[in-house]
Amino acid sequence: MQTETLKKAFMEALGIDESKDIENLEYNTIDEWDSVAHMNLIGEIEDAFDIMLDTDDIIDMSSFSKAQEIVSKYLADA
Amino acid sequence: MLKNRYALITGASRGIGKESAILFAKNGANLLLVARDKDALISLKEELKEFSVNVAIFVCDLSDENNIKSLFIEIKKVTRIIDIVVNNAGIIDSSMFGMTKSDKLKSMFETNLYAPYQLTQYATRMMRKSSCASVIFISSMMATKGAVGHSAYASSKSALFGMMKSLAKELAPTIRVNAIAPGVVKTDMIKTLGEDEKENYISESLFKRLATPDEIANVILFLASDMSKYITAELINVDGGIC
Repeated sequence: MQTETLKKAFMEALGIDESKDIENLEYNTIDEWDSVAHMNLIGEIEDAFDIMLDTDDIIDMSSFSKAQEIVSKYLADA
Repeated sequence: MLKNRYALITGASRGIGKESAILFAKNGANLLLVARDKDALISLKEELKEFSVNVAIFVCDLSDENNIKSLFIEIKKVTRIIDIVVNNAGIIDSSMFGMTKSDKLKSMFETNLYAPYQLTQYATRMMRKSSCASVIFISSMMATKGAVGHSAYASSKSALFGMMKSLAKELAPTIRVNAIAPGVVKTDMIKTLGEDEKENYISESLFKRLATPDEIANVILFLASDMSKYITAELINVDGGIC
């Protein structure tokens, strides 16, 4: 459930569809995930999971799997 | 001009912030008002009832980033989108360059630069889906002109100007980012100025008087509205022509 929500956030923020291998995406490896899109992604993830990310985590969010790890941490703390 | 938009205003309990809140409400904006003075915020909220807009108040000391994060957690309970941010909260103090302690310099930068920087970081994440997003920083004429006894304040406001220019480039075209450089305004903040200093500013102004808060708020409204939709990365001097 969490993975699907996160995937949707990635698709919405980066303007990509499921034809991309979303679960293996890494920052700056596709044109759609640049520094500007990264901030859109952060906003989308915050909205999707109703969390507020710290700057350190925004910087660390360098891949889909890292995003999963970070989101899990926030949901566990909630 | 701002009907149904959500506007976040810091330092909203008095002076330029309060005037902006009233003017924004008159123009239909829903308000997220931030200040340290709870009683003043409650009183302002009461005053704004006649305008039939949503008004949410938040007591917050913005000099601590943890408070800013908590503020946005609360704001998200009210709205998911912010259209306008007015970074108005600031402090002023005077001391000659050689007598300015590092803690005073640090405090000035914490409130006048770090706080709006961090607040805008959080706010812009809620502005990306707005079709009319505008961030406004309140700088100062001292940022570009300097003033005797105000090296700490002037440098903090000058840094704010540099931040505004960079941010405008990063956030275009989705979010417009501008700043206003008021001259000396008739608010509580001018209590820190000596009488001679005030008289000097009055004589330097081409209007031979100080600005009133509503005269600054009018320009804030302009930058917040679609009237300025082709303006970004701009600093507007509202200083009565002081050269």
